[in-house]
Formats: sequence, structure tokens, C-alpha cells
Amino acid sequence: MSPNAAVMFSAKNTMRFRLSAGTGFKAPSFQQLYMDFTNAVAGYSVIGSADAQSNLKRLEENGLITRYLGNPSLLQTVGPETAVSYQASFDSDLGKRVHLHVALFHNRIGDMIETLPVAQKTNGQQVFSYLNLNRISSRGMSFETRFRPSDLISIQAGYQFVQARDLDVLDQIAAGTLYGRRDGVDYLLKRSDYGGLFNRSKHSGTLQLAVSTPQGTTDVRLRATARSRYGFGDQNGNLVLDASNEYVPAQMLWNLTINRKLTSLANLQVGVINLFDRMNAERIPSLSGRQVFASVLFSSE
Amino acid sequence: MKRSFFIYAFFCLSAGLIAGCDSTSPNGASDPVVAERASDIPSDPIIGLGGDGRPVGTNTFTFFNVRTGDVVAQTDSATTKWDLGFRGTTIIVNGGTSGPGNGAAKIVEGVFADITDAVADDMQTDSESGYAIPVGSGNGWYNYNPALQTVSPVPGRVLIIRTADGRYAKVSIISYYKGAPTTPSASDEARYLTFDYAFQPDGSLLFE
Repeated sequence: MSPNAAVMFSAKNTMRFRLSAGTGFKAPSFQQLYMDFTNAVAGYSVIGSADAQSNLKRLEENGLITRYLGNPSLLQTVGPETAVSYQASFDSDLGKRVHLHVALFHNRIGDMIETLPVAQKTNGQQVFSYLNLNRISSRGMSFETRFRPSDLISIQAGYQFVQARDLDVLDQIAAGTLYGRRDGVDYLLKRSDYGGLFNRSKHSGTLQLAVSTPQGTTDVRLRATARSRYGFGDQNGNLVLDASNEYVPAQMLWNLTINRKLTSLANLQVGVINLFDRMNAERIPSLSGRQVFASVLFSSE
Repeated sequence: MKRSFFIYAFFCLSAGLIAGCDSTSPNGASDPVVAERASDIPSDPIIGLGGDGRPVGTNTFTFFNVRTGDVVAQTDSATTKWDLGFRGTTIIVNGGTSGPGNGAAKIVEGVFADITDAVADDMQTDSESGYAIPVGSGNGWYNYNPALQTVSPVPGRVLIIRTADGRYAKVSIISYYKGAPTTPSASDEARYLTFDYAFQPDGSLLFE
């Protein structure tokens, strides 16, 4: 059962205020329970949690396991993830040309199912399985606005602040059992040292400017996405995000596209992705440098 | 071997305390315990690739004497001249199944410099069922990061060591990589240990 409730207040048709609360439930997937897979090329294995013990035993009997990462007897059938979420949002139209949207949210997820390496294989690869691990709290606000100064120009801006943290880590910090290391010297971790979950930026935003010609044959779109620094992995052995060298620096990417209608059936699109040639080969290998493209699209009606 | 020295604060503020500063005083403070850093001690470094393409070393321990701060020759492995042995991520003590000495160890939680009085309870010795300093990621002194393929010492874990001759030292592992880089990567030269240690010669566990 996943009860949800929401109320909405409206005023003068231009303002809407919405409150909602709900609970969620996510059962473990078939593969999280029963998968038994070995990648023939790379050599790693993934085993479902329900049969993890017996599968690990079989791998060990076949002499495929060098060592366990952690205690294999702690592996058990994963249970469902649970979530409780609260949201408050406000929408407003200021005349015909401006729209505002503001939202506050707080989500708590319990027993999040995570993939973890559980054993090292003799081929150097790992065996992965699933565990109910963390209690996560994610809270923040988002802000979005669309502004049309004229019929031909549209500006959209969005900003999001999210603080996503592992509640078990906060408990460890409160209990004084989590440490960090700086320049070879250990220290007790403070709440303010904790950077939250890996791969999550605290601040992120988008900005888009679109201009079209009065005839509607050409439009130009400039789009920027930005995100603040985010953690990529632990470097100082405490497994949580705390040290400055565990972050990927903030980044901002700009894209430009120009669309032109050549005939009623053909469209020309030219553009530049990653206008300022931002790259980070070490931490974001997927981010290619500047790419220029052109395409003609024919359509038949 | 590069060493840096830290001397713990040791003050004698008044004449009444001067007696306590006498290093021969049996129950007062003795000479301050000096913490030293051992850098890049080889821990069976990789010498090549094995038959299955995995990197291998010579599968031998490097022996270290925390009383003198010296690396001990391999030929002295059956003596009490060493206190700690290093091979990859495995650390042994000179006692039990590992050596002829009185060595033992345990892991305590805390900041190295702040551990000033340990207790000798629960000291473990190397045995058939396992080493005093457990192996495996998260069990002993290090965590293995599977995404970055790096070994990082767990901050806040201090090894309390009983030496081969029954005295005590505390040890904090700093790095598993040559040159102790603050941001180690899988391409750094692994199996070189850098660690801080402090030996208390008077036989007590007071590291002040």
C-alpha cells in the first residue's frame, strides 16, 4: 500500500499552491534477487541476493574466489526500498509573459538497494551482489522561470539545490566514529565536512535563450547547463565524501543550435555542442570536447 | 628512508613537577615518546606479471623493527629482531604462527596523536585462524575502492603493537603507494607503506 495525499489552493487562476505527501515502496527486481550472471568478456559476475550464499560457495568450490570483500554471511535476500516524500510547490503567472515555479521537497528513502562488490575473483575481477544498505535523505528546493519579453524571444532559467545525504553516515559522525585524513593526519569528521552522496551536485541550473525570426523560418537556441562540484569516489579510506580531492570540479556547458527551414519539406540544423571545449579526461571521460554538427532533415507529409 | 620527527608536547611548568620530568622516575612521565614516520617501506612490490596476467611480487615479507626504526634483513626472519612484517596489504606481528617473538596487535579507533594511554586487553596474536591485524577491505587497516582500484588506509584506525620483546608501539598507516600521494590512483606504484609509529621503551602503553 502506498498512500498519497495532496491539496491545492488556487487564487485568481494565476497562482497555485500545492502540498503533497506520500509514501512509496519499491520491491526488489527479479535480477536483484535471482540473477546469476558472468560477463564472458570482462569476467566479472553478478549474483542475486537470494542465492548469494550458495552461489558464492559454488564459485569458491570451483576455485574462482581469491578473497571476500567483507563478510559473505551478512548477505541475505534484499527487501523492498521504502520512501516517504513531502513536497510543497508554488506556481504563478505574472501576466502573460512570466511564469514562476518554486518547490520545496524532502524525500527519505530507507533500505536503498545498492550494488556492491562482495568477492574478488582469481581473474582479478569481482563478484557483485545486492544489499539493502542506506537510509538516504534528500531535501532541497527548485526554482524555474519562463520569461517571454516578446513573441520572438523566450528565456528559461532553472536552479536546483539538493542536499542528499546518507543518514547512517550522519549517525556515525554524531557518534564520533568517523574520521578523515588530511596531509597524513587523521581527525574526527564533523557534520560540515560531509559532502553527501557521491555523484550529486548541491547546486545545478540551466539557462536557455531562444530567439526566432518573425517569419518563423529561423530560430537560434543557446543553452547552458551548470552543476557545482560533486564527489566521484573516496580517496582517504573512510568511504564517504569529505576531502577536496574526492570532488570533480564545477562545470558549465554551453550548446548552440540554429534551425532553418529551407523549404516546406527540408530543415537545416547547425550547431555546436560544448561551445567552450570543456573537458575532463580523467574524471568525466564521456565528456567529449567541442563538437560542430550540421544536418538536413527531409520530411514528407 | 625519510623520517620526520614529532615530539609530543611535554611541559614541566613548575619546580614541583620537575621531579616528574626525571626520566628515571618509575611512575612519573618518562622521556616523551617520539612519533616517527617511516616512508615507502616496500611491502612486496610488484616485480612483473604472473601466468594469469595479474601483477605479482616475490611473495616475501619486509621486516621492520619499531624499536630501532630499521628494516631488518630477510635472513633474520626467525629472530626477534623484527616487530612487523609487510607483504601487500598483509601485516604480521612477530608472535604466534608468524614469528618466535612475543608480538601481538589490536586495532583501536581514534586519532594517532590522541591515543596516549592504550590498554593491553584484547591483544591478538597471529594464528591459524587469522592474523592479529585482519586482512580484507574494511576489516583491518584499509578500505579497497573497487571503482578507483585503490587501497586507502581507514582514517581513525590505529594499530597497537606488542613488539617481539613484549613492549608496545602504536602505528598509523598513511599510504600504500610510493611517495604517499594524497590522491592515489591505480597507476601509482603500489605496495609501499608509509606509516607513523611511536614506540614506548618503558614497557607501558602510555604514549605521551
